[in-house]
Amino acid sequence: MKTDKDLVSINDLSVSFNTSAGVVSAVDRVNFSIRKKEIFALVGESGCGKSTTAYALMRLISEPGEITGGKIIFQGQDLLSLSRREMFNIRGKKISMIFQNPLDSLNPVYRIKSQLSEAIVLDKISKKDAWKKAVEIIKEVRIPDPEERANSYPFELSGGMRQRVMIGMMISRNPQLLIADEPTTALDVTIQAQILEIIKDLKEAIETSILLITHDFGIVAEIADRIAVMYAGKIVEIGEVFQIFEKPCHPYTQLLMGSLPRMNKKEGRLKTIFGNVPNLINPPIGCRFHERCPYSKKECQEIEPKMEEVEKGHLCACILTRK
Amino acid sequence: MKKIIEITNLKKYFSIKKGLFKKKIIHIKALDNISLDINEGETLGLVGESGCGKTTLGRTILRLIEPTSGSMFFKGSNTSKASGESLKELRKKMSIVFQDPFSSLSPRLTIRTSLARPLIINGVKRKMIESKIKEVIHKVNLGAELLFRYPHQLSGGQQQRVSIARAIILKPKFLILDEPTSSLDISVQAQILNLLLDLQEEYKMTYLFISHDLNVVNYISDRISIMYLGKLIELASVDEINTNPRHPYTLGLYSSSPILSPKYRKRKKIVMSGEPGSIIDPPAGCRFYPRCPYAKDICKTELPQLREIKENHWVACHRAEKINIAK
Repeated sequence: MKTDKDLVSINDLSVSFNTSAGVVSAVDRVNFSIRKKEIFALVGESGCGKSTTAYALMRLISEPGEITGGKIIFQGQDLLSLSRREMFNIRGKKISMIFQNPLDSLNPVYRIKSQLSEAIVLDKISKKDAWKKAVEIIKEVRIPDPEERANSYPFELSGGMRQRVMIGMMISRNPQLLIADEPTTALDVTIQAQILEIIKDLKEAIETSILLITHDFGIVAEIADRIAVMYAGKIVEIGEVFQIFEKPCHPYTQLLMGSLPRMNKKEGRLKTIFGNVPNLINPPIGCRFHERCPYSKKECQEIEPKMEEVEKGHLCACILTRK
Repeated sequence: MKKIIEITNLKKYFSIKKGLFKKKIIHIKALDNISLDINEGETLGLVGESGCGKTTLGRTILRLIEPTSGSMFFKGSNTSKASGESLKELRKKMSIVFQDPFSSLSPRLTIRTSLARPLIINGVKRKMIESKIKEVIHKVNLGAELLFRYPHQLSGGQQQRVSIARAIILKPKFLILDEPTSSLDISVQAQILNLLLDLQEEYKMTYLFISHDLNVVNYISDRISIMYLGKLIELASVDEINTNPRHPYTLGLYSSSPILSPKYRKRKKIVMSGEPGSIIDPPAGCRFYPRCPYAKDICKTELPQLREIKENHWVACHRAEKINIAK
């Protein structure tokens, strides 16, 4: 189902970590593609491999982790076959990434403007012009008193402002893909709303695609166009936001949706999922969810389900939902 | 309705020394004239952004933080003056579950030892300890085999169950839940919320549920109170807060909070500009004044008092009746 609207397509990507206890297959033959100008959300609970997938896309997996297979086709070339130098030119210029805690991502001893211009000067722009552009970017991400703020150090800014600076830095070179790893988790709701507005507006303004990594279904419901749900290193369901929220097809997605507090206790208890996430050193054979699945059959323990289309644009990896 | 907690004009000021010779004393008004009643058997949600004083309020009620002034009553007895034996007696009846279960359990004690601690401190007979621990661990749906493990050997959800078990082992009547699910995954969050509802029914407990997640608070609460910069600004039933919020901040907060269903994404949102000011030097008049789209001159100079604008609906806003909040 590859189309020319795709910006990135990830084919059979696998990542594993060699630990003293054994090989952890954190991401196992994952397939998805991100279209141009869309917000694609990769959701799942902690440890499901969503951040690892994003780091692999940036080729930022480090020891003891290793990309063990697959292809990442970005604008016609496989990112996994590029040299380090070529990858360096893609990172920040064509694909950039914002992280959960903006204070960890900013250097505490440099002023905001010098950190912002550091990326801009890579595009052969003079330092003076880069500083001017830095102030413009600060204005674009709606920080009040941009001139004054450009001269501040990170610790002088609030959490919301720091995250805006990060977003500004990452969009300063107009990337085609912006990866946002839990961008608002550390922020308060009113600030989160402001940041989400900025992300949405910038997406329109610079025509970028966004890969949103989050565990927060609220944010996904607000801004995502399409969603992929991950469980234990596998994608179990992909679809448009309405398909996933209103007609979830994989049992795991259905249970997750039922566990969201969307009502008052007067209307009943929340759905829960029995058991715990499996150990990925020896993941269950067959469907990785079968031990916790209320509909599990004998085949589920033997056959590994493939992603199949259940309706247009809606794929699901469960043998029970096969037409 | 019987009241279990009555708080009147509660203040907590933290003072910090500033200036070259540390002579200038600045007061941080973490709780500023809070008056609040909690009804027996209910779950009162307490919402607000970080730094608004919600955790300080919870801890002050338990006297983990000493109040600066004001009075607090638990079932008619004055807790703000209690000390020694009477304070120990009160703390048997009131308990707390913290946000991060891992840091609130001692890493060097087994789960069993952690659970036995409150029993030993309160002089429960040795023979009874074992059976009480077995009973409580069963109540929080954990197996007895976990008793001899250490906190790091448990998952986040299991750790939070242990924290809950420890909090309820003396059968308290009032439990403060300080963001008990915010460090957990959503499926685990659902398990913990269900568990809290079951325990509340069984032991007839009253909950003060502190959270910044409006979806969770809307689910678990009977009434909701909202704080902003050390002030209580609105208090009403869940339905009333959701359908008829009267304080502009409440409106902004509910409007900014993501709804867990994409069909509402096109709703008219009020994205509040600016950020909460500082508690150190709060604006004179209404503390929300600098961010309020409905502010008038009076809001700048005069501090609005919490008043009942409708039965059981309390708001601290000069213009609560006048502003037309279109949803």
